[in-house]
Amino acid sequence: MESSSKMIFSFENSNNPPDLNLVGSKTRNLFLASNKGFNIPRSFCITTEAYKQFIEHNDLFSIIDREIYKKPFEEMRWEEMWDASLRIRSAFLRSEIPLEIELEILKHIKEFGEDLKFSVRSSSPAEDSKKNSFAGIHESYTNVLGIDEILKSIKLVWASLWSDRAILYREELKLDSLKSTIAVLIQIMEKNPVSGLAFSKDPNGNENNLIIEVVGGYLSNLVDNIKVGEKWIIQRDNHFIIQHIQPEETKKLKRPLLKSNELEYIINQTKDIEDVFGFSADIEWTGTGEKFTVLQVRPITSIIDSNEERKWYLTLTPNFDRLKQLSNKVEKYLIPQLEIEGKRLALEKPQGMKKDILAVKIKERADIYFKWKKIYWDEFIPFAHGIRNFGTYYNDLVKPKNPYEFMELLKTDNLLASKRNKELISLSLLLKSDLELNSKIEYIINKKIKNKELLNALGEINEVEKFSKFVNKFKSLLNDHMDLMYENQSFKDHPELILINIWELSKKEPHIKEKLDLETVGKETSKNSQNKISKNIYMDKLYSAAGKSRLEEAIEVLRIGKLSWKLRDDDNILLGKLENQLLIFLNQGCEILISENRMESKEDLILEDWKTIYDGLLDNKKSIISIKKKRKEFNTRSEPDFKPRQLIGQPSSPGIVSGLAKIINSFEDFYKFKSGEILVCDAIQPQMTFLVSLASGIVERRGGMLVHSSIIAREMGIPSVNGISKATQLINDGDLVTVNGYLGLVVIGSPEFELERHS
Amino acid sequence: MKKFDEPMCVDNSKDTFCQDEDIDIKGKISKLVFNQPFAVLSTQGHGQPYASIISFACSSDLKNIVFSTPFNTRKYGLLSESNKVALFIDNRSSVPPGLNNVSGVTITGKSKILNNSPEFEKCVDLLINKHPNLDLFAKSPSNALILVEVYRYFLVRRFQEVFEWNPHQK
Repeated sequence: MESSSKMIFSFENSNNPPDLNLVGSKTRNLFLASNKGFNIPRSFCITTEAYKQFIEHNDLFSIIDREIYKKPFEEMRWEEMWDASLRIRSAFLRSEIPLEIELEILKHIKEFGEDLKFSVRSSSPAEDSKKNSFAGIHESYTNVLGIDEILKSIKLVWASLWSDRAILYREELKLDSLKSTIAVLIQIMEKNPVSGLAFSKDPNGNENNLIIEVVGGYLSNLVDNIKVGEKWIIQRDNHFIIQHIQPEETKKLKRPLLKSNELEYIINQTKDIEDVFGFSADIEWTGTGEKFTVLQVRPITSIIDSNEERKWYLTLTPNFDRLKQLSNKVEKYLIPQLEIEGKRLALEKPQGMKKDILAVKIKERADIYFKWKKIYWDEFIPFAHGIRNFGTYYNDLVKPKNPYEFMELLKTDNLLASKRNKELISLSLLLKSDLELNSKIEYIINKKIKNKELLNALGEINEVEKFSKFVNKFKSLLNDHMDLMYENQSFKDHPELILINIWELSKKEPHIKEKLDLETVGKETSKNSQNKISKNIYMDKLYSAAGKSRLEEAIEVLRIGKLSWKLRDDDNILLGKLENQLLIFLNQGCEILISENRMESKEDLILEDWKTIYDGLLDNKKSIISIKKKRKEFNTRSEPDFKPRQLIGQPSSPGIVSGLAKIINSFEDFYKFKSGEILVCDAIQPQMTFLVSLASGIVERRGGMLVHSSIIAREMGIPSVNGISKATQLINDGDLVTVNGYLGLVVIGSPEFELERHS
Repeated sequence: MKKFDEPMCVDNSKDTFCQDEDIDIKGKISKLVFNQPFAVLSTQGHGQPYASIISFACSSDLKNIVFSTPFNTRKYGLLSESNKVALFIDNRSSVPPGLNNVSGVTITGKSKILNNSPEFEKCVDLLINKHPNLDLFAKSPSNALILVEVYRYFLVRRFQEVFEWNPHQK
């Protein structure tokens, strides 16, 4: 163990500036400010050496290595990155701080005053340089009270070095994650009437201006958006107030938060700090006049973020207040509206409509669909963060061994996809139980009767009373659950596909989980109660860890998590209905144009072509319509010169199963998928999760614990491994595949080792 | 519209599969067999398995591996009894720490003694080119020069990922 002096940097016992690599830039800058005579709060720093000791003591590098470097970075998806970070964070929380370091921390806390509130802040050597700003990338915690909470916050700050956003940011800046390290700055929270931010130059505007932002009480009120602050824009040379922006709540006070002399003092201090440091400074401060205290100094960096996708990704972590607002909006307004809209559109049929009316209807449907698509990206996807928010909340409180234990509390039988799959299974059981019905359906399938003819054939069967239950249920399934499209094909136009699916399902021995689910329909079984009991165990763990003081909060975080889980899948299916309703009308428009010899084919039609079809239908000159050819994906495939034997991915649903692989790349492949096969797919879309009922296992390229296939596979108890790079290229149709959903392994070929036979 | 559910950099529309450096399995195997000086040789005989460390060299087509051993060694005795061998080569000592950085290759094949063969000179040169310090050792009359005709390679990387490659495949 290194000497404790290297683990802790004490401001009060040091005259020389500390080594940047040991204390990070936040601490070093604060020390320099103090050395130049500015007030700083009583502080000490837990150095990067202590972080290193913590990592070594708990062998955490092996976990970081396993999670972050298990596949090439460019093949990791955002969600996989989050999964990796969650596991690392969970491991950090469960690890022990080496005793010698913990004792040193305790010594300093006791010396400062155990009953005081502290801030626990990241101080990384890489952050806050003139070139790079890590503002908001690493975690900091304020108002931390009590030694246990302080120690926990230190671990969380350390873990934030491996958060998804920190990893992505370092990658963007081409910084080596393996060399990254972090120190922790501990400060007493000084309580003053006002605190704020000061920018010696306006970071977003005129360099001749200086900005002061102020809030009542702790600075965290401003930084965490608890209160809206007042803002002054000041001309640097003559201190003229260009603008004073006052929110409504402080306007009521009838006087600004800063008196003119207090404002003048802060302006001067800001300019002094800029002179001392030699860079345009972004300053966090508290108190006025003699009590003016510098909490942090860093260079102003204008973050010009060129990566739009990353920028968008970073908006996907709304804070809890925003999540609460979103939950009300999504649950009480948006989802019911979306549902109503889907049902309303499904009532109209395009057949027989005049061209101009059809055109108007297409426009109406396109407007509705694209409006909801935008809502999907702006509101539904950020709301999906509710699942992650609950996961982090549960893990922070409960510290479970399995960082995905929280998912047990989110499961629900009410997913639209689960309801649909239960309907499919129930229809398959009707087929299984009636040999006569079975042979009639087999006849229809073998005759390859399709579309309307198939519905007519079923209509004939329906005349026999004992078959009507099956036929009516089948029609309801089509209307209620299959008003969806995939690759420009509406499932409603392909009832034969759904019938084949049910037929295949009837040949399958129900999976244990499916049996249980079917048994539980409408009655309380022992297994059902058992599930409730196990759910209650996790609920109890959560509530007892929350304690009385946080019980209400825990209930609310769980409520939002559950809602977010359900809507993660449902919203896609509901949006899919609008998509399909637009497609049905577009197809009708295309058929008219094809019949007028103005259009060759609708093969390449996509929803974005609606305007072309709309214009074509309204065009009296009857000009020729052409839509752009779209590149077909997966149309080429090179044969590798090697055989994969075992691939690693993410264990997304537990269990182990062997079966023959079926690669699903297109709508046509849906017809070929047989009961008990292993579904191998690039990305399982919500519209195609009905295939999952047939699968004995799932292998997917797209990774993540919260992708659609993971949710459905977990709900149905089907082993699943995802995040397998190039899954559909490395595995062939008919390969014997073993899906190990416990370890995230996919074994290709017979488990028996083929003995070497030398020629 | 950005695809939330898509990876960051992979462009699925391009068929770059076989040019993808990450799954250039032959390249990864070549790196190991040409850069690593030592291998573990597994032999069998007298009803028991045995393992020994050897300095080796590999032919440019990856079809043959050569090494030298004195006639009076246990491994030579065992090779005389059974020519079915396996070799294991890994890069543990030359990569930064971390399970995901380590890769290894298991090689299966059959051995033959080259001392009286016309191939001796060419193969001993192959070994000495890679290990100049073994000049006297490999050319000593007390040593056997062994050639392993490779049947298959099994590349293991990232803890559990396994690929099979056959050097005779066209």
